[in-house]
Amino acid sequence: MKHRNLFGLLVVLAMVLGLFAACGPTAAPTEEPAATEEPKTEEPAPTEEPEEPEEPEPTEEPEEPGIDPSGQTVTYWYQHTGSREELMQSMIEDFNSSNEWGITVVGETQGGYNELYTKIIAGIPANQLPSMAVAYQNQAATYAVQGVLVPLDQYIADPVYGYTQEELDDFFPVALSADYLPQFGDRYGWPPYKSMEVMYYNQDWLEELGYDGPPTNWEEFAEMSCAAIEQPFSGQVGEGIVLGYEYSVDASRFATFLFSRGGDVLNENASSYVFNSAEGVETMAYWQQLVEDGCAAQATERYGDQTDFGAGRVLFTISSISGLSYYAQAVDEGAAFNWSVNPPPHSTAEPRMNIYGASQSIFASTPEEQLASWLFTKWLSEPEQQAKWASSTGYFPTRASAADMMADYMNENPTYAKAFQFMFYESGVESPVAGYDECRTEIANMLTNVLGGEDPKSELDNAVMLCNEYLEEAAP
Amino acid sequence: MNLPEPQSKPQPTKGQRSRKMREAIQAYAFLLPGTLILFVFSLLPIGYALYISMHKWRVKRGDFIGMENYLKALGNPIDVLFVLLGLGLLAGSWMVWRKITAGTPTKILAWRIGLAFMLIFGGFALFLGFPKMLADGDKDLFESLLITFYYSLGTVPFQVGLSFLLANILFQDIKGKSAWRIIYFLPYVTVTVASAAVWQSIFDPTKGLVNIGLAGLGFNPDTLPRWLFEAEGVVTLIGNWIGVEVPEWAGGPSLALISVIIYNIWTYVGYNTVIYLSGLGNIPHSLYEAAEIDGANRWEILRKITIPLVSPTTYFLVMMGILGTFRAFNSIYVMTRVAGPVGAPQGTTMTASMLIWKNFWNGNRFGYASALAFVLTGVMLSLNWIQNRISEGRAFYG
Repeated sequence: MKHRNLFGLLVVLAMVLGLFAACGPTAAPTEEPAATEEPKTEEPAPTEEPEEPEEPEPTEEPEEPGIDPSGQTVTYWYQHTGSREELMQSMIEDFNSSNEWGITVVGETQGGYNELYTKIIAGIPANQLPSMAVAYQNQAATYAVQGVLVPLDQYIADPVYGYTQEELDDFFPVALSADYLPQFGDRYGWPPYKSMEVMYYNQDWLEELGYDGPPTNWEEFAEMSCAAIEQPFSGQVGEGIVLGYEYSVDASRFATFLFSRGGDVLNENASSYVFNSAEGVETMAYWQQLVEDGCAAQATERYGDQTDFGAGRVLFTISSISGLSYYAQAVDEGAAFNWSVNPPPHSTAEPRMNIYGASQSIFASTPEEQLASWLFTKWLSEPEQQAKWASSTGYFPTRASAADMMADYMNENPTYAKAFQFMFYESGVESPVAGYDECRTEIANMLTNVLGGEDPKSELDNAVMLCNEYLEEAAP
Repeated sequence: MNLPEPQSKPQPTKGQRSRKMREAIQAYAFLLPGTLILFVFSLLPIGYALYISMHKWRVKRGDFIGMENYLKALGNPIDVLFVLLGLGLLAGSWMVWRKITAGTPTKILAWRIGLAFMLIFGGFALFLGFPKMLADGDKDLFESLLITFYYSLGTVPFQVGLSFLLANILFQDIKGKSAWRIIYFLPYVTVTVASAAVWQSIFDPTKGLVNIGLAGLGFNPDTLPRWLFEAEGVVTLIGNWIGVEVPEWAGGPSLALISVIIYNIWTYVGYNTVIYLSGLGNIPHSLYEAAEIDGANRWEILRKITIPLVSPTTYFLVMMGILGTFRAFNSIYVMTRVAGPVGAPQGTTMTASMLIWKNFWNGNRFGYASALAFVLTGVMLSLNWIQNRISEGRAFYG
């Protein structure tokens, strides 16, 4: 019996060890499957515009003497996979072969935004970090709290390696202001591209239903969505449930709905979450009703909203503009109807968008390595590179001169050109604060609970309480 | 009568001592690599996790906070003490009770009965701290333990029962026995992430094979179950189906959790079957022959010979099953992530290991997650101890 007890104890200890090994702070979780397919939209972990955007001004201060980036090899972690990774690698090769300092960039994909974030979090205590990485503003804030990021204004303002005022004016304000982190009063990212949430709609189906165009407010959206389930699209292909609106559970989707009603996720001084406001309750009550009426439902597979839209079974979806080319492909391979994008419906006078996008952040290392990383980051933000990247991926450039270079592309892609104009509408700000990644999970929980029938107000209050706990815990 | 004088123990010679020493050194040298591996890869991480659990640890180490993370999980220390004492006394009284047999002398019997009753009542009184602990501690933790309990209860008995049945069938002289063994064993050797992803698509409410099959059988497509997306308890769903109102507390595990349970049973039945086959092969054939000569029928042979003689295998499989379900993660994570954030739908698949993961990776609460892991370890060790006590005298080792 003693032997059996001992054996049992050993087995339990071994099991427990397995559990700890899976949760060790320096190990990436083995449980989470690596992304095997190319992302069809930008994973929306939003970005944000600070209340009072600070535009860095070039100064006449000389570059710190003795910093020479020549011959540096820097690592760059990103989330791109598939064709986007191929493009990124080709751009890196261009940089490596053309830069005057002989800097070598080693680009490494990490599989996806979540995997990239997890790997960096695991790498912080182990001091195993890249020279630079793609990071959403809230993720950059989390890294900055740990003291591993470099503020970028010093490079932007550098007379040799920085920008002139004219170059800075070339950037769109919405992009330039996004990386200014209110918890630090500093900039920890540089934006090579942007994305936003838009509404995709089936124009042919709308006409069959007797509507001239897409909805501009939420009442029309509900009316059209519910009309769609009564009268399926004549060109529908394949079998499946017909819906007015199909959604994936995501905090950015909620933020999009909220912004369009004039609400905000975070208060003005970024000290507290406020999405349980009247606009938040309205948003969730409205959405819940839409689900209860059978006019909207959750996608039951990854990118299911895209494929169902393409098959003509879903009238509307709302997601990132970076999925534009995938929507086009889904429609071409599916029901081949006329479709387009519009700003999401809104209760505000003008559309209020959710514009976001990950930026480039640089990790603290040697001054030479940091400068080399900055030079690559700057190169990636040059109009030529931005135009190349944007016209191949569906993202938006962040510079006017890059957009000008894309004139032919925009002529050939009117839907993209139309969506690009939405960049100049007012935009809500998600949360450029440490702890927002954690909060996003709580918002997603709140969504599944409310859309599963729970009370909107109490669920929103609970989510705000949990998010504020994270905000406090994660604060610098 | 001359008794032989007791002989003193012969002293080992120098050569013998030296040989013994050499043997001891050799033995320790052989043990050293294994001990080092155990220390570096088992004890050190456990010790480090304990160290983390006593700190405010968010990505990097913060202040030392002692037992604060544990108290956050379990509630007021007095309540925790009450519960632990209560459980300990109950366990102690139960052990004393089990020692009492028909042959126990009367005086001792009375003393033991008195002790047992005292312990039971004392234990129950202390157990009153439990509701307070539930109220003051981390509700998510207790909820997750309940879900884990459902998961274990829904998985282990079916896994073991089904594999015992299959093993008995495969143990017969049937054609293609080896092929069947391989077929049943295949799910166990299939990569969990891959097979769980396939099962996730099988349970897809709109395009999955299960619902397509049900629709093909004539069920109304609009009322088909939503499987991994269904947060409602199965008892409630059955009640709704037959028109009986089920109170909320009796709703049972969600249909999403049941879907994961079905996958888990599918995965491990083959493995358990192979273990059972090995156990069945160890039963001497002569016992069956003797029983047949004595006129025993198949049911009696199964009940009186097979089941008792494979009881050590059953004990092993039940123990492994319980421990496995308490630390299960991969399959639950892969299958349910399509329905929403970790623990979806609506937290009904948030088992204890999922909650630990959520706190660790989603919440960056390394210290608290480590404390939760130790709480779960405590629960698992307690279950293992209880199982050991229950199996005493029931598992027959020959």
